[in-house]
Parts: sequence; C-alpha cells; structure tokens
Amino acid sequence: MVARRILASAGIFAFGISLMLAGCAKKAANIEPLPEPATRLKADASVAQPRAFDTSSEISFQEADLNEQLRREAAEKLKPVYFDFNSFSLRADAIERLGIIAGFCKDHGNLRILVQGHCDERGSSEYNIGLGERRARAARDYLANYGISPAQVEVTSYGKEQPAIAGCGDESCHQQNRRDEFKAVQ
Amino acid sequence: MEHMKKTAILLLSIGIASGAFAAKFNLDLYASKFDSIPIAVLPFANKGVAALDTNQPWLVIGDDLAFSGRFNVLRTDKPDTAAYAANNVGVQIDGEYAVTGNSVALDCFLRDAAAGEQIVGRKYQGDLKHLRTMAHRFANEMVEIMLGEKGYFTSTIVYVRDDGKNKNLWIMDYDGGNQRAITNAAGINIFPIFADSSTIIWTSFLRGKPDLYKGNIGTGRSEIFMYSRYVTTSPSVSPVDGRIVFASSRNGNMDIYVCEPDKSGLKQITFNKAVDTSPCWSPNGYQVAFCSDRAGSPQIYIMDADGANVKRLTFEGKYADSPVWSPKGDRVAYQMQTDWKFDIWTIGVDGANPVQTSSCPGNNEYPTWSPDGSHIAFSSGRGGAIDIYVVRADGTDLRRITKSGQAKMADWSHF
Repeated sequence: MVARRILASAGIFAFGISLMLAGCAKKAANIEPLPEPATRLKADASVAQPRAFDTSSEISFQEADLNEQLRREAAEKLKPVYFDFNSFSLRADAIERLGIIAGFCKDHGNLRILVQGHCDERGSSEYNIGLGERRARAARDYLANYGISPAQVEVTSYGKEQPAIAGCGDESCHQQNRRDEFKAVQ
Repeated sequence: MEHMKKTAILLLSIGIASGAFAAKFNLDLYASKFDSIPIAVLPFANKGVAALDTNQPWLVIGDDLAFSGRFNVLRTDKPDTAAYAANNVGVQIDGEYAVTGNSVALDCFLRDAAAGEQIVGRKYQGDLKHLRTMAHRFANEMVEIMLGEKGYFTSTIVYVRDDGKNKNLWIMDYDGGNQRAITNAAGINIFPIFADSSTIIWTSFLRGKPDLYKGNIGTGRSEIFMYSRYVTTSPSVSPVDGRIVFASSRNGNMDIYVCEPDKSGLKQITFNKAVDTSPCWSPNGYQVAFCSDRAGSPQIYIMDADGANVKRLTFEGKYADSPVWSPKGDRVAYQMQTDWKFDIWTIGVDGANPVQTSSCPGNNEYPTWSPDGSHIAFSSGRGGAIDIYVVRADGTDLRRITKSGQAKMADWSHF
C-alpha cells in the first residue's frame, strides 16, 4: 500500500512523525473545535411572547375562542372576499360581502377583526406578501366607510403561503386563492 | 458561541517529506499549468476493523473538488501510471482510516503521483458524525494550497422544507449532506438567512402574521426579533457590519427599513406608495437591491443604503423579484417571469448584460450565491415537487442537491 510505504519513509525525515503515529493525542498540536450539528430551534409558542420593544406588538393575532352561537354567526358573516388577478380593487361581490362584515363588526364592537390578504400561487413569495397586504388594507379602508374604526381591524398578509387550494392548474382554482379572509381575534 | 457544545477534532499536520532524496514537487507550477487541475483520488486504506460503507471520505473529497469545476478528478482504485499519463495527472490524494466505536481517525495525503512523495499530510480524529466535515476540510486545504483561494466545502445552506402543511427551516451541507430540521413548529417559517455562521433570521407566522425571528443553531435558542402590528418580512444582514434591512408595512404600506444588529436606529429608506420588498445588501454594505412595482410591475432596483440614488436594473420580463447580490459585487441574481414561468437570471449592477442562468422546467426561484460567487443555488420544481439545485454562475453543470421534493428558499452561508 502506497500510503503506508510513503508514511514510513516520511517518518525518517519528518519531525516527530513516530510520536504522532504512536499516540497522536498526546502531542495535540492544533486542536480545532468542530461545532455540533445544528440543534433544533425551539420555535415553540413561548417565543411568541414578545419582549418589550414595541408596545403595539402586544396585540394578539390569534383567533378568538368564541362561544358556539358567535362561532356560527362569524362563520356565516365573515366570508372571504375575492379579487381579480394581480389586483386589490374591490369588486361588486366583495363590496356586498364587506357590508355584511361591517354589520358583524358593529354588532360585536368588543371583537377585533383580522383581515388576512392572500394571493394565488403564480407570483413570487416576497412580492405576494406585499400584494396580500394591499388586499387586506383595501378591505379595512372600505369598512371605515361604515364607521368601523381602523383600530378594530388588524391587517396582515399571507402572500401565497397559505392557499385555499394548493397546486392550481386553472383560473377558477386560482380565483379561490385570491382572497381576504376575516377572523375574530382575541 | 460560547454556549455552543463543541467536540474536539484533532487536526495535526503530519510532516512534509523533503530533503536530499527527492526534489520538492513544485505544486504552484503544476497547478498553474491547468484551467482544471488533474488530480487522482484513491480509496483510503482501512487500518481498523470496521469498514466505512457510507460517507467515504475519498468520495466526498473527490466530489468536492469535481464540484468546484477547478479540478479534473480521476477516480482510480490504485495508482495507475497509464491513466495518470493519459490525463496529465501529477498529484494524487490517498489516505488511511480507522474506526473505533463512534470515533474515526483519518490520515489524508496529497502526493507527487510519479514519485509517491508526500506533499501534504493531514490527520483528523473525531466522532463519526463529523466524517464528512473532515473530508470537506481536507478538500478546502487542497483548494487553498493549489489555487490560493479559500475553500467553501464546509459552507452550509439553510432552506425551507414545505411538507404541504407546514414550512420549517432545515439546514444542510453545501452538497446536500447532513440535512436536518432546525425548526419544528406548526406553521409558516420562510425567507431564512444567515446573519453569521450560527445565527439565522427568518420570517415566521407564529403569531398569526409575519414577524422576524432570530435563532442560534448552536444553542437552539430562538426569539422574536423584529415585529410590529403590521407585516415585517424579507430580512437581509450586511456582511460588513451586521445591519439588518427588511420590508415592513408599519407605516401604511410595504417599504424598506434598516436597523442596527441590536434593532436600534430603525430608519425607513423607501417612501413609495408602491410595494417595496425583498431588500438585499451589496457585499460592501453601501447599497441595497430590492423589488418594487413602482413602475407598474415588480422589477429589480438598487439604491444607496440611505435610500438615495434609486436606479432600476431590470426592464426585460414582466415580473422580477428575489434579488441577491454576488459576493464580488459585480452582479445581481434574481428570478424573472416570462410566460408564467420563473427563471434565474443575473445582471450587471450597471443594468447591462442580463443573462439567464437556469433553464429547468417549471419555476426556478430564490437564487443564492456560493461564498466565492462561483455557483448559484436555487429552487426548481413543477407542481408540488420542489428541490434545491446548484449550477455554476455561467449556467453549466446543473446538480440537484435535495431529493425530498419539498425544499426551497435556500440561503448559502459565508465561507
């Protein structure tokens, strides 16, 4: 074996080679630490409790735990509104639904409403978060016409990260994903 | 870092044979003769009892050197004079290993292929789980010795694994080895980036909306980092001073903000009614590339880090996003859509010479540069199956490095 032969001959000339072969650890010349493989980040719910940095972050965006009657009413009235491709303009069908949603907001002034803007899966993830944010804001601005305070309405965007139907192949499917969803939050 | 659990790995320099018996091999002269340096890689001899049947270091070393495109690797079972002559091979890598329980000792050699004289010898010892890393380190040494450049074979890639229900962060070696989860939460975790070799910043929807989180892959600790009542997303960390640039709707619509590593000095740097997002630092920390639809469709722009001197880079295509600045600073890679399909392009920072890098079927998205700028990793897929691929920056030598069908949004670490 070449390796052994050369190693042996190298030993004749090389400084300290026999010592190393006999017991390398004793003459630890350069011990270099190697990091452990990454451990799992504990991204559990506890990290969701923000430290004092921005008081507005204390606002919760988790869905409210509604009683059965309220849950049924919310399911009936807080229905998604839909958008045209690459658009955040409110269509007639969206405006009709927003009227019902405004009624729910008025009837339950103690509940905050989270508007989640969503997009179809054809664009980029980053830009779609911007587009979804515009869709959510369009709904909040329209609700203001009914006297719903922007303070009662949270807006956020899921971009294309949570499609109603994943892997769409046609326009009627994409249409289901271009939407605002409305949730009562705590 | 001081909390990081460390395992010592012995890295001893074995003597370099020199002296009266043989003329010293002129490695610099040899390496300078080739665009792609011929090198033979032989299987290592087993000096212990248990044989290595996975992660064999000689295969890892050969793959690393071949991957770089800078070596012409000849794999042979034993020194083969005829094949060496036919391929101009002047140097050879061989070695020995011994496995004891969970520990492995590895001796790696670079030799003058003709005379058999040792040019470089390195000894590694440590846990078997570090075997690939030992091999990557020796390959890095080969690059440093023969090319005078830093090797990137110990670099890692953080990415998103999307199982159709949850999107979690995973990390792997640059070659797809050692894939493991680093978040394990129900929900959406996207846009991970390396702030440094052990710190990841990413966008998580843990609170029901996008905020920035920060985690240390050594300690496993993570915390919410940057948030507001509105959207906070798409972080990028300056390689020069650690400043963070990100997109947020906190002042009414999506704009770009900069802050210090400790979140102080928050400053808004775009004020456009358009969607401004996807910011990315230039390697010298003076400029930021970003995506904006201020001209109607999403396109790539660059500006100074204080928001001045905005300049549009992309004009071709109807939709461009995900800009990433090359480590050398001369080009920006991005994804651009033509005919409902995204491909990876690069363009000069002066807006000249846009070049398509990928031509894979389906969407090609989220480019990221190798630490030396020689390669681009990106995700590519069709339907539900998306994987991470690596290609040379000139578009040649495409390799798929994940096989789960669920991997995307890669960020390649620094060296």
